[in-house]
Amino acid sequence: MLARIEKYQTVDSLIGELLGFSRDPESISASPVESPAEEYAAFAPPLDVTENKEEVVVVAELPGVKKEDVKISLEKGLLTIGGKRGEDTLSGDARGLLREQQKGKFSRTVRLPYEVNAAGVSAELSDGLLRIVLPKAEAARAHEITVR
Amino acid sequence: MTQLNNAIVKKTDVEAGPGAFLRAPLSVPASDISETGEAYVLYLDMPGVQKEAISVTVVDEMLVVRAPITPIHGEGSTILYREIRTGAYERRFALGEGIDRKNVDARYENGVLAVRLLKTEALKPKEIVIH
Repeated sequence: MLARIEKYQTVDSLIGELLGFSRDPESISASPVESPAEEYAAFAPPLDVTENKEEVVVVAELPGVKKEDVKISLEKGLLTIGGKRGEDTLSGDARGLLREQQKGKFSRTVRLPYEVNAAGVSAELSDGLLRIVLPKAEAARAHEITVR
Repeated sequence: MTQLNNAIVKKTDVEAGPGAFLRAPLSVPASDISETGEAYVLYLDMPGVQKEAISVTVVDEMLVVRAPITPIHGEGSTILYREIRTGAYERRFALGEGIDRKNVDARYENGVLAVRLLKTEALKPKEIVIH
């Protein structure tokens, strides 16, 4: 994949694009000139996708992220988890000796393997793990067929 | 060094019983360290662990943090895509001079463990009075 190099693109976002991290669809529509630094996320949180008979479950690692700073959207079978992690380990007169934690804007988009019932989606953030439960649409559920 | 590691493993083994997580793959949590006049604070990204299962110990000149990662997927679910680590978190930090080993405070919030190490008097910044 060839990354399209734009005038305001940051090194982070270039690396992100080369590694294939997905871009936040919402920010794509935003004008790149108005907020060049906002166009790309600083990091993409790791996630797991599982399914059972009734649901698709997506779990993402979001340590240090507050509930109110997470935004989840579902559009055309794409689930996007976006938001920001604040700089909360440096405050007042504190001096940073080691900086490994990923901070700033994050975004991750996954294509859902099944059609889901958008109205029934629920999400919970606890101990740094975001758990999104998406009920499968009736048509996507496994049905047992009785042999007559 | 090897001797030290063995000592720690033995100690934890006794505490946790024949704990399976000792044989589990270890992940190194991403960490930030901040310094103020009075203390060093270590912040470790450890999402998905139980507070009660976190062990923070000072063994000789090492601060050792470890915790098993709680399995997140229930019975009957099929994993389609996996990136989140399993096993256990572990990280060791060598402690230098001037850290009060008796006064270690740790708290776990939003998946981040914060460990505060107080400096001893010798290491605290001093105001020099001009006569």
